Amino acid sequence: MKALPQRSDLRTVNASGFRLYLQTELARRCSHNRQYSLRSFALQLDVDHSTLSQVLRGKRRLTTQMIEKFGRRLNLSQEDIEAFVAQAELMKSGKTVMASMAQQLTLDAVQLLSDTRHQSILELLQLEYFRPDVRWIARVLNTAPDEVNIALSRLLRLGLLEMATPDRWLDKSDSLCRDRNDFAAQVIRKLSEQVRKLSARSGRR
Amino acid sequence: MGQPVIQWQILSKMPEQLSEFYRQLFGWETNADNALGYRMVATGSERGIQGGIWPAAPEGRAMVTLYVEVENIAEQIERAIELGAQVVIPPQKLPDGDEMAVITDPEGLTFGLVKPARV
Repeated sequence: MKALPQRSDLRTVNASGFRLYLQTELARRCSHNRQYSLRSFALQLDVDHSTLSQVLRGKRRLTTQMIEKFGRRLNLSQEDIEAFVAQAELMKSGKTVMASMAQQLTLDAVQLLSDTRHQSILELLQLEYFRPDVRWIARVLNTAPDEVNIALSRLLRLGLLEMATPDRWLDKSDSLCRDRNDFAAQVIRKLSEQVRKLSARSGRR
Repeated sequence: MGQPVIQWQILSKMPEQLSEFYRQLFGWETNADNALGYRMVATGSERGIQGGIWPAAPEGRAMVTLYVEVENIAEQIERAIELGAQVVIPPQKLPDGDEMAVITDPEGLTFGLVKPARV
């Protein structure tokens, strides 16, 4: 038996998947339009800008009603809105393992959005001469094998990577979307998918 | 054949230091010369089970997990759920062909299930 990917964090932190989505969406809009601001975003969401500011900073809890309202205002699909609501419900539930897993996935997504090595690994997979070897990846990215393994674990948990066989690693993201903002959107979508699966498993309990 | 515990795994935020710690303490030898850079730990004895060390993310926590060998991961998961377990990591195939999953018992203790490729 070789490496066994693990959940890496069960701490309770204030990391909401939908808050992460809002932060990412605001950053995306600001990068596309220099005039865009928190007030613009608040107007779009039909909420007071100070309230939105508190939500984004984790100073105010996102209620189910807020997730549903903001999700609709941002034209999210009903399926995605339900996934974010399910995650919030999991966090509040007594099902601590499931809540921890939802938390873990959110933390993974945060790391994927803040550390470009994750995207770099997926880009390497596209190369004809890619070698499914952590030591090779570490050399190419000028980092330590342990750092690569931590990044691989996150990509696996979020479903952005599949190790089908020892020699065949599959990029499960949309390989055509290599723009940073598009990648961020994909991470959020994968987070939503994984939470939906988690919620479905939780519902069967 | 029974369903034996076949491996322990340390999830560590300081894997290199721990490898050295156990080498000095027990003489355990670590070999990471494999495609995943996984630190396989040999205790130097044929008795007992061998283990490994896997890096934990900075935001994570350290833990030890024991892995039980089973013939059918999916069936064992279903049985475990019936008995009050929860799935932490659903069944997945590893690059070396092994299948594994991680679940918690009714008290919340984590343990792994593994089906080695050779079984």
